[in-house]
Amino acid sequence: MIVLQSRKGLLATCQLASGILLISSMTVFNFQVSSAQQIDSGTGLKMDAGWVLVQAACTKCHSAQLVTQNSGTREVWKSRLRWMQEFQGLAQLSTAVEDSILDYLASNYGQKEATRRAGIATVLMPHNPYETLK
Amino acid sequence: MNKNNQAEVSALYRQDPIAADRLVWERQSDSLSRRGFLKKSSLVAISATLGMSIPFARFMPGGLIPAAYAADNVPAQITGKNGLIILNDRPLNAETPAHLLDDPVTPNHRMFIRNNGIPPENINPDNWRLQIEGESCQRPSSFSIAELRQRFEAVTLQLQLECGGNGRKEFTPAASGNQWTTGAIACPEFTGVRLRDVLNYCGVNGDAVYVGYFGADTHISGDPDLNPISRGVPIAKAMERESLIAWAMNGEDIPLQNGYPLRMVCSGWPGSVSGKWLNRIVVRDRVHDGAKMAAPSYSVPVTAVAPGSRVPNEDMHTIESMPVKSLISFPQSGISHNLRERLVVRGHAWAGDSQVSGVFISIDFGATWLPSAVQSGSNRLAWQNWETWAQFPEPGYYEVWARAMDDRGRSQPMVVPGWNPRGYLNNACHRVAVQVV
Repeated sequence: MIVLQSRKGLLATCQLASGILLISSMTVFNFQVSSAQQIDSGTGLKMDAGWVLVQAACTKCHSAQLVTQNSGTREVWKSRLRWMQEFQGLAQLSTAVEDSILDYLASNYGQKEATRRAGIATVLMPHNPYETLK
Repeated sequence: MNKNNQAEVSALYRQDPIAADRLVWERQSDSLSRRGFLKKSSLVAISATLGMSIPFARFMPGGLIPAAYAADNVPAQITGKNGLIILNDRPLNAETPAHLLDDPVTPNHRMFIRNNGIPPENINPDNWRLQIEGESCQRPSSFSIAELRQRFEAVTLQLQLECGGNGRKEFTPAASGNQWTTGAIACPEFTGVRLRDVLNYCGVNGDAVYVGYFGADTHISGDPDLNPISRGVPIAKAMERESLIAWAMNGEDIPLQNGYPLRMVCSGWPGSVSGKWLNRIVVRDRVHDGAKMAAPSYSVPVTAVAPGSRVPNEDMHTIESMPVKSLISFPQSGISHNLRERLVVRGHAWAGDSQVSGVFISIDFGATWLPSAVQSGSNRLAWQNWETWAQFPEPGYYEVWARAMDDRGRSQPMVVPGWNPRGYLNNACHRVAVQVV
């Protein structure tokens, strides 16, 4: 949130009224949801700090579904950004924006639990006559 | 931005996109291009609002709401498809649940979609041209689809296509990309002409190494200088009897998302070698260097690596034949089954360039295996249908596992096989869950 707050100050120089309106509400909105962990109905992204930046940076080219179905450490996500910048036309991001994006991705779509093979997916399981452990 | 603002911006764009552009971004139509590309000043405004520059904003048509401000992102029904699970709606990638792949020949509405770019629009097959050229092509030529039909023998073959990343979801650490489970496989009947007949007609030099394709799809960024994908196969694979330039699938037009009106089909290799919306083929005197030819795309480490290894591109090589694999298409995972009745178990098996020699099932987590009756394929490179049945000894939770073996004795592993950075070639045995009551 600190990063986003400072961005608000940074960008307030924007002379466009609508632009200022959007940025202010963007920042406030992130503030409101950072603890709640809601899901944005439009994109499926977790509405944690920085999600609007992820939406803006990533969904120009591809669906947010390509974000939400993937996972990895901060370093892994960074290498994905670099690959997109090198080969797929993603523009350079400012350090502040990139940091916010990587923090968001690493904390919300972090590395998977290590397993050689996971169980059959829950949606593919039959009715269980027993109660299951919560 | 909060929901209300987002909704207002979206509503405005729906009502009057040009006015919305002017109001929100001071964007005006460029009289030169008439596509309303952004003026420099508007670009600055948008970028400031988003807190970053927009990649390829110069290609963003007027009146198009930036995706970042779109209120909803609901995937539309995919024309001509039914029952597919959408993994990614831009670019469109969708897989077929295992139980919907039960047909011996995959119907058009059940074939998975793996798009790298945006398919072309307003296609007129009568005007479609296929250009054959390249350093090792003696007589570069251009054909309409009618000319292909007229000049070369038409053949119909049942050919399996599987995405190289089918099963990627199971790799740990996670590999980047669409998280396919089991449904990026199909085996429809394709009708077209043999690639080799067309290449021989145009003359292939002795120094030919590779055949590359180009299609009419466009890059997701909108940058016309970027190609979404341009891969292909070594000349020997291109010259196989079963490598086709196809215009029909199951006797109908190829579905738009699967390459209408013309595509390459080089079965048994990652689906990406079989170019869609095909409009150009190049006969190369070197390994083709199109988009996504080089590592790490469609490449695996030359020697096996520990999970999570950072593998330099020079230690990777391009995937060729896919490994042996099978699918249980009946029963659907999650059913309850009556103890007193036999359970029919059936599905398909395929083995890249090889044949399937056997398919076995287990209902006891791999402790014992029962053989199934495996049919021969309709032709080389078609998947092979198999069927058997199971009788359960007592009520309870069971998993039915299937394991195929190819004609060289290689069978599917029961755990996830060798980890690789991009998560290709997971041919671990398929499992369905059954509660016997």
